[in-house]
Amino acid sequence: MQTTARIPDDFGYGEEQALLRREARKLLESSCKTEDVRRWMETPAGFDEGLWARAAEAGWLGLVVPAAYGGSEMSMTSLAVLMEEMGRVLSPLPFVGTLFATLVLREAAGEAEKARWLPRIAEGKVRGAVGLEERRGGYHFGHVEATARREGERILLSGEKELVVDAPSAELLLVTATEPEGPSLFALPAASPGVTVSPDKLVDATRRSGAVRFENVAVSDADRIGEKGAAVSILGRVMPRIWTALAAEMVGGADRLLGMTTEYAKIRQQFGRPIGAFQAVKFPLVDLLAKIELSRSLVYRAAAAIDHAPAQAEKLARMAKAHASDTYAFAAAKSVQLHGGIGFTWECDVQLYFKRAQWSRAAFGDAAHHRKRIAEMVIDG
Amino acid sequence: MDPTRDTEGKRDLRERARAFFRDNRPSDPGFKLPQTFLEVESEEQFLWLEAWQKQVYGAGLLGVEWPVAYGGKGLPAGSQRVVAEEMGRAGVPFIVNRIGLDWAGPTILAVGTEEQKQRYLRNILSCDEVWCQGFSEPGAGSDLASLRTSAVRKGDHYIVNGHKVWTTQALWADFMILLARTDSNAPKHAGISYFLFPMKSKGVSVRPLVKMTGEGGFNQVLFEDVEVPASCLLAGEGDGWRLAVMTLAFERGASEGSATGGALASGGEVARLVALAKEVSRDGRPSSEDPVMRDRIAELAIEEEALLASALRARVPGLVEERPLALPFLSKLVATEFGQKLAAVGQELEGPLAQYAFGAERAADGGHFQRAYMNSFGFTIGGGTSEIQRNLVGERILGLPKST
Repeated sequence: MQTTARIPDDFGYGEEQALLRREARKLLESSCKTEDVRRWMETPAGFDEGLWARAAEAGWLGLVVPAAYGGSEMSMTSLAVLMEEMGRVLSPLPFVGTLFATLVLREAAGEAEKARWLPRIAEGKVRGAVGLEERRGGYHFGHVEATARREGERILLSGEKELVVDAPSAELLLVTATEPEGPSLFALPAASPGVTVSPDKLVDATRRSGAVRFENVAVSDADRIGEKGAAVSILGRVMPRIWTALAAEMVGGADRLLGMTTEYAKIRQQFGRPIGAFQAVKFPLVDLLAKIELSRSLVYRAAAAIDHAPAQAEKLARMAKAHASDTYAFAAAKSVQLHGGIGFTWECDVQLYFKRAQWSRAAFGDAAHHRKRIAEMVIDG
Repeated sequence: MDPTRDTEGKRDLRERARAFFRDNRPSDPGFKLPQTFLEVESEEQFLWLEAWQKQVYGAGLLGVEWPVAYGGKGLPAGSQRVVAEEMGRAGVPFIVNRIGLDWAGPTILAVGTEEQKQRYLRNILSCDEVWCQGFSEPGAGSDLASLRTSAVRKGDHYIVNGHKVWTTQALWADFMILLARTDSNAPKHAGISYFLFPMKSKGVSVRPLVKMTGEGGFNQVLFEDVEVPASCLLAGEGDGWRLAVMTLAFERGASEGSATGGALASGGEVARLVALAKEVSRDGRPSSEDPVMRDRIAELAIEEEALLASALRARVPGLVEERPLALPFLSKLVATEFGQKLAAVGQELEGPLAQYAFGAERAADGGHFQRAYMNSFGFTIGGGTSEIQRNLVGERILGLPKST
């Protein structure tokens, strides 16, 4: 019997999520301080393997892995909680790339591929990344110039993906390449001959991505994730989770900026009083709070829709990503401005969040991109 | 808006409300109806709206969260909102006795004596008695506590003298929630008391004011040696400020308990915008095909959804743990500014047609958004201006120092 899918009144947020939030905050606040992030961002890897191991121990890498493959398969709401906490401390872990690869495998891979990769991902022994973007695609993941050419039993992959999040530290790359049936997804170990990953210089020095080139790299039919030509529909099902996860991370970061700037406005004295007493300072902080609260509502609404009412998932997830992108950008701009001279310095942590906001708003579809799709849903039905 | 959001009980209520508003949609009265409860300007409009409220209450769709003993239905929190959403969806007229339902009623329910509750609440729901609010004065706007209207105790009566402004529906009101100074020697907040004041008393005069839209609806009220029984006092002498803050919290949608479902977006306004966009043109094509207009509509659709989602999230303790009061304190500010932005975009969609006034024969959608835009300022000013809201949020929620 078909019943109407319904988002529960509690958004699927219960004791389990509250516990996850407490544990994540405790671990991240003690092991991922901004001085750590500053130290790691000067290294090629950009993160600390010790922290990665602790993330694995805490079960975060298996959070979306099915129990049959060694994970805990928690809800999207749980994932949003973890991402919000990671955003708060500016976590530099290559979590998004692995998360993305895990979600694609979980959604579409055959048993053998799942058994091959997912248990090791959950243990933290394999990291992943998904290569979608091409130079001329501009967010359109159906635009795939990379090719998959059949040669007997072998399939030869050739092409170039750019801005592949977390590719430099990934052992497993998933890439799209076009077959006669349309774009397909393939699993490609990063160590395969003919694969090169060139790390990018990003606006956000705490993140890593890379350009992935592959030239006649041989794979087999067994390495295809899902059906031939199915990449666009697979990604269409996975992306709402990524958008929502990113939006949650942005809300965490924006909230931290609000906290830092509010504290500064209480302490910094000019004209004989704390600057927070001036409405020119107070009002933008209130506007930022309002934006953050609205973004957070959309994030948890989208997460709950993904878990309970899939028909609403895409629209709400796009809304969450669009809104959070604008919120984080506003948070970044106001935080630099209201900190005054010190906010413009390298020494002030605001700059780290500012750059994370710039990266995040542009990654996985900026606000204008998502609004364009939302307009189609709202206006054209 | 969406039945997939509801629990079992709410789904039944929603279906009942949806059916009622579908089957009982009032026919065109043959005269102009006001857009909101703030613009009721003629006897004819008032009587028509009074009959409509009686019909909705008769159907068991009003005051559903209030206790059965006082004429309500005793349903859980959030139930009235379901009805409000269905009203928005059906596009039926508003409920006229709003000040009774959302301001006076919840305050009486919270602090009134059993006798006061029995006396007033049921008649608010049935619209047998209409309420207005006597807070603002010519010299006491944002600085409400500086009010000077006085109530002097004389035996078992009070003698009231003074002057109130922006008094919505004062022309038809039977009662007023009145703030008056009962102790002129006390500090300004401490000397204020809160009265359930009978408007038909001798010495009360009501003078209509005209708004920028050309419509009436609000008034000045003058009190000249008006004698009212001491039993009109709500709670104790000097409790007025505390109760005023409570009423304002209800008014701003910051507290549960309102009888019409609160102030956050009810949904449906963006749908009206979309319908308009398909009817009007820019550059020889429907405005709904103009990329810039589409982006504006999408932005509003996102914000409308965010407001709806926020109203729901506000009820999940785990999701508001860190700032439990942020959403209630923000709701008036964000909802009224959203309404203002939406009305501005509505006019933008119309392109040249935005030049027509409300009611012009050739206006698109009757000039709805022209009037809505002007009226939107009533909401960003009344009930505590957006500036006062920002002060409150900055100080109470963010803990920033006072601005004075």
